[in-house]
Amino acid sequence: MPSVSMKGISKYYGASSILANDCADLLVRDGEIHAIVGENGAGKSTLMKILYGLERPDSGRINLGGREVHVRSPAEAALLGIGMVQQHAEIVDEFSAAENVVLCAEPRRFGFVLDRRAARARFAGLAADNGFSLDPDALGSGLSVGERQELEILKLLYRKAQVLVLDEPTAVLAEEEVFSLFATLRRLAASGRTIIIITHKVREVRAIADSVTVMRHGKTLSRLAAGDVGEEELATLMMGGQSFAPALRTPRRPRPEDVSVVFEAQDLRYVLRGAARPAVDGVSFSLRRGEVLGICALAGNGLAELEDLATGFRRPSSGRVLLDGRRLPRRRGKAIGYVPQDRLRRGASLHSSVQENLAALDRDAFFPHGIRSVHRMVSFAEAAIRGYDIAATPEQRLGSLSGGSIQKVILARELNGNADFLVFSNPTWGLDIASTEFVYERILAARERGAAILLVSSSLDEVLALSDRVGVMSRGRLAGIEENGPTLDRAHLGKAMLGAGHAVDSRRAHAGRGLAMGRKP
Amino acid sequence: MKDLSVLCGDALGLMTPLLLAAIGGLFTELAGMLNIALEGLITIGAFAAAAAVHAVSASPHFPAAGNGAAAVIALVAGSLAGGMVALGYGIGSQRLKANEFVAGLATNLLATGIVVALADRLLGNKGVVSLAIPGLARPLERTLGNMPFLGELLFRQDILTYASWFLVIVASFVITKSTFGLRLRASGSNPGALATLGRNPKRYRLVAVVLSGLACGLAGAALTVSLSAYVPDMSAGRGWIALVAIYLGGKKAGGVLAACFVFAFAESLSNYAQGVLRVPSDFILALPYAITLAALIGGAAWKRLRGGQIR
Amino acid sequence: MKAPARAALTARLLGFGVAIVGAALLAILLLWGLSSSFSASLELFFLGPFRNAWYFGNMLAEASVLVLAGLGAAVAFGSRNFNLGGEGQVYAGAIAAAAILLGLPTASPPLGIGLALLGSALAGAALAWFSGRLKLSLGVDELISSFLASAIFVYLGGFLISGPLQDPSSNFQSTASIAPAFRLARLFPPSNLSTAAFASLFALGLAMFLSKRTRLGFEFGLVGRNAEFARYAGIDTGFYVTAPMALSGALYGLAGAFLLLGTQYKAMKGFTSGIGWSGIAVALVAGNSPSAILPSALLFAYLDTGAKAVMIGSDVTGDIVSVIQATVFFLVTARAADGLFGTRASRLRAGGKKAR
Repeated sequence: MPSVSMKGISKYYGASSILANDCADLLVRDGEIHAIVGENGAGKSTLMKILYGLERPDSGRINLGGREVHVRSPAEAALLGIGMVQQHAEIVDEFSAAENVVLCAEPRRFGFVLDRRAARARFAGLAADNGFSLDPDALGSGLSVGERQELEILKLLYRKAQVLVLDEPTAVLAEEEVFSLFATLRRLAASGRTIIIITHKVREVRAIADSVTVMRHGKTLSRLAAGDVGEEELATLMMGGQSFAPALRTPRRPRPEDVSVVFEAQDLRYVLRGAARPAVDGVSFSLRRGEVLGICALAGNGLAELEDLATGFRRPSSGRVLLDGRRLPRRRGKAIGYVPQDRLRRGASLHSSVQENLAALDRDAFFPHGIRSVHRMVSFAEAAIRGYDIAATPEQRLGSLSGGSIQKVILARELNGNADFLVFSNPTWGLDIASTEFVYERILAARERGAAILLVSSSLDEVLALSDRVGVMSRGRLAGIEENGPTLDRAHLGKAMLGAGHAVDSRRAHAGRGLAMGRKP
Repeated sequence: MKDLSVLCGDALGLMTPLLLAAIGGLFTELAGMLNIALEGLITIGAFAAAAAVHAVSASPHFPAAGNGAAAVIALVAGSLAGGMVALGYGIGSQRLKANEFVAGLATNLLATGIVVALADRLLGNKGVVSLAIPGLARPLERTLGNMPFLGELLFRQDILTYASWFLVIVASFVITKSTFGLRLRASGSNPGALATLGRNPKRYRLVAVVLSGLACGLAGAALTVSLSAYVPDMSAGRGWIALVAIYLGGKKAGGVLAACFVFAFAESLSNYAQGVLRVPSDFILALPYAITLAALIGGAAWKRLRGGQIR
Repeated sequence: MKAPARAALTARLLGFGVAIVGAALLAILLLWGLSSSFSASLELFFLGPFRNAWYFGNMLAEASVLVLAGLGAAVAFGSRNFNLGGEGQVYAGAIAAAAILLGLPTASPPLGIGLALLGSALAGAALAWFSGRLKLSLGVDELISSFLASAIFVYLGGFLISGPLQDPSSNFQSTASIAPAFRLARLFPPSNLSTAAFASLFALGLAMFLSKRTRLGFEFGLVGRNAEFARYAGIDTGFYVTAPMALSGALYGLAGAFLLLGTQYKAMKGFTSGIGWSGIAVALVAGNSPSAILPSALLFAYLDTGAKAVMIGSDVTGDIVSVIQATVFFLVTARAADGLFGTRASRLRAGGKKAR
C-alpha cells in the first residue's frame, strides 16, 4: 500500500540560491527496498528531508499510496507513516532502550504518569516481531553504534511507520554491523514496509536494493533495477563520466635502507577510569620507514583509544610508546603528523581562519621570536590552497568550508613538516569519491618518501586498499598482523574482528554469508 | 543532645528558601541549562512579596494587620513575580538566542537594579522595611511539639517548611515518573532526540525556566515572610548556594534535599556561633559561602578519589 | 571573500545599535515613570555627562577603570575561563594597595606606587588563580568557585577595612587616606580623571598587540575557540587555564588599585561594588575583543554618569542605571552571543537539526 512518488521536486537554499534539488523525480513501489545513490552534495539528503517534512520544497508534488500529501513537519510525516533514521542516532544516553523508543508517545496511566511496564511490554513485542534482540532495560549509553541504529528503527516501527528512510545508515557501521542491518531491512521489507536507503557506496546497492535512483547535481538521472546494473556503471552515472573503483594497491617490499624502526608500541594497556576491562589490552607492533600498517576494528573495540595512545593524546596505563626509540613527548610536536578521526573538533578550529588552522602546528616557524609573521602565514596558506586544491581563501573561516576541504586543510598542515611518523584515523570517513581518492594519493605519496604510517580505520576496504600490513582489533586486543596481498583471507579477518566469545556473535553469525559480498568482482 | 535538636530544627527552618530555590533550579539543570539567574529570581521574589504586602496593608480595604492573608499574598506575589521574570529570561535565552550564561547574568543585574530602584518608590525606603506579616502557622507544634528531641527537630516547623518538603516529593515524582519529566530530561540530555520526534526541546526548557522562577520567587517570598520585613540583598547568595546544592546532590531531588540541609545546618551553626562566640560579623556572613566552596572542592576531590587514578 | 566577515561585523554593529536604542527607550520609560519632572531628568540623563568638566571627567575616569576590569573579564572569557569573581578581585587589589601604601607612608612615590600596583595585581591574581587551579586539578567549575571565593573575600575585605586597617579617627568604616605623594595627578580638575587613564590605555594597547600579533595571543585564541584542537596542536592547555585566570585577576586587582590611587584615596567598605560585574558586561558587549573594549567601557561609563547626574539633580534614584545597563548588556549579547561562545555547544544545546 505505501508506494512513494515524488514528482518535479525543486529546492533552493538561501540567498545564494543553490539548487539542491532540480526537478527531481522518485518512484518507490510498496514493499521495495530502494536505494538513492549519488556523490556528496548530489541532493539525496535534501530530497529525503523533503519527504520527511524537515524541508519544504519550492515546487513539486508528493504522492503516498496514490494520494497526494503535504508533509509540513516530521510530526506530520509520522502521522502519514513516514519515518527517517538520521545518520547520527539521536538516543538519550541516560534512558533505557524502552524509554527511548516510547519517548514523546508514551503509554500512560492517569494521563501523565509514564507506564514503564507497558513501555517494556510494547518494546519487547515490537522487538520480537521484527527480529531485534535489544534488551528493553539496556541504557542508551551502553549501546553500540549498530544497536543505536536498531533502536532508531524501533522508534519508527513503534510509531507505525510504513515507509522507512535511512540516511547513509552504513557510514557509521563497521562491516559486520552492516550485514546485520541489511538482514533487518530485508525482514522489514518482507513484512510489507517500503524502505528507502541513501548511500554513496555502489557496492551496497547491489547487496541490498531492489531498485536504485541515481542523483547528480540535484537531478535524478535514472531509475534502474539493481540487478541489471553493474558497479562500474553506477559509479560512472554518479560521477558523470570518470569511473572510479578503489584499486588494491600492491604492498611494498621494504627497501633495505627503509628497515629502520620508526615507531614502536610495546605491550600497551589502557584502562579507562572505572571500566571493568581494559580498552586496549597488550597491543604491540612496530612500524618501519616507508610502510603503511593498517589496523581495523569495529566501533568500541579500542581503535579510538589506540589512536590516542599512538599520538600521545592519552598515556597508556602500562606499556611504552616509542618514537625513534624515545618516549613520546608530553605535547605533540612536528615529529608526528596526525589526521584524527574527529576532524571537526580535534583536527580543526572551525572558528579560526584557514591560514590560522594551517599555522597552528608549526608555530615556531610562523611566529619567529614570538611575533606573528603575516607574510609566512599567508604565503604558506596560499601554497597549501594551490597544492591541495582547496576551495577557500586564507582569511576564510574554516567552518564555512565543505567537509572535503576541511580534511584537505588538515592534510596540508600535517604533511607539511614531512614527519617520519604519520597517523591517519578514518581519513576518508564521509568524503565523496574524488576527495577519498585525493586522500589516498597523499597517504601513498607520504609512504613513497619514506614515512612510517599508521592507518586506523573501521573500513576494512580502506585498510586493504592502502596497507602493506594489516591487523585487526577485537575487545582491545590486536590479532596477528599479516602481509597484505591477494592471498589475504578477508573472511578470516572479518571473523577475527568479531573476536572469540564476543557478546554479539550469536546474533551476527547468520549474516556471515554476506562476507563474500566485498569480494564480488 | 537538646542543643543538637534545636540546631537541626533551626536548620530545617532555614533550609526552606534554599530548598525551594534548589528544587526549582533542578528543573532547569535537568533541562540542560546552566541557570545562574536563580539568585536574581530570589531577589525579585523577596521584593515582590514585600511590595505586595506593603501595598495591601496601606490600602483601607485591607483589614488590620495580623491577618494570615498577608503571608499568602506575599507568597503568591513573590512566586508570580519570579515566574514572570523567569519567563523573560527564558524567552531571551531560548527564543532570542542570547547565551544562557549572559542572559542569566543580565537577569541578576536587572533584578538587583530594579529592586533598588523600585524599593524607594514602592516601599518608600531603600533600607530595611518592616512589614505587617504575622508568623506562619505551625500546625503540629501544639500536638507534637513537646515530644522529646523530635518535637524541636520536626514538629515546630511552620507550614511553609512542610509544604516545601511536600514540593520535593512532588518534584521528584514529576521528574522520575511523569511523561513530562521524561521529556524534560531528554531536552537536557539529548535535545536532538526530541527534535527528530517533532518536539521542540526549547519549549520544555522554557517550562523549566518558568518553574524555576516560580520556585525561586516563592523562596524569596519565604525569606520576606519569615523576617516580616524587607532587607536589601535579601537573597545573600542563596541562589548560588542552591546551584552548588544541585551539583552536590547529584541532580536528584533526594540528594539536593540532603545538600540543602548541610548548608542550612552550617547557617544555623553560624547563627549559633554568633550568639555564643564573639566572632566579627563579617566572618559569619562569609561562612555560608566558605562552606559552600569547601563542599564544592570536597565533592570534586571525593569524586576524583572514588573514580580511581586518572591518566 | 571577506563577505562573511563583513556581514558578521554589520550584524554586530546593527545589534549594538538596537541595544543602544532599546536602552535609550527604556531609560526614557523609567524616567517617565519614576520622575516627577520628566523633561528635566531626561535632559540630565542624556546630556548631563557632557554638561560640565566634573561630569565629563568623571565619566572618563570611570571608563578608565572599566577598561581594566573589562580587559580582566575578556582575558578570562576569551580563553573560556569564566571568572565571575571580579568583585572580590577588585576589592582585594584595592585593599592590598591601601595596606601597602599605609604601611609605607614615607616611601618614595615611584617605589610606593610600584609596590602598590604589584601587590594589588598579585592579590587579584592569587584569588583568581586559585579557581583556575581548582578547575585544572579537581575539575571544579571555575564559574562557581570564583564567585564563591570572591564573595568570601568581599566579607574578609570588609573585616580588614573595619578591623585592622580601620582609620581610628573616622566614624566611617574605612581606612585612612593614603599619603598625598602617592595620589595620581588629576588631569581635569575638579573631576576624578587622573593619570590612571594612561595606564588603562597602555594596558589596552598591550592587550591588542598581544592578541593580534604574538604567538601568545594566537595560542590563547586557539585554546579559547577549541581547547581540544589546541591540545592536539601541542599547546599546553593547562597553562591557558591558570595563566588567563591569574592575568584576569591581576587586571581586576589593578582596576581596584587605580580606583584607590586615582579617585578614592582610601578604601571604604563596599566602595568597589559593581565594578566586577560591570567589567563582565563591558567585555561581553565588546565580544571579548580588546579593540572593542574602549567604546564598550565608554558606553557603560556614560550611562552610569547620566544616572548619577539624574540622581543628584532630580528625585530619581541612580539605581535605574543597573536596569539600563543590564538591558544594554542583554540586548547586545542576545544577538552577538552566538559568535562569542562556542556556537557548536550552543547549537547542540539549542537542539533542533544538527548541522550536516
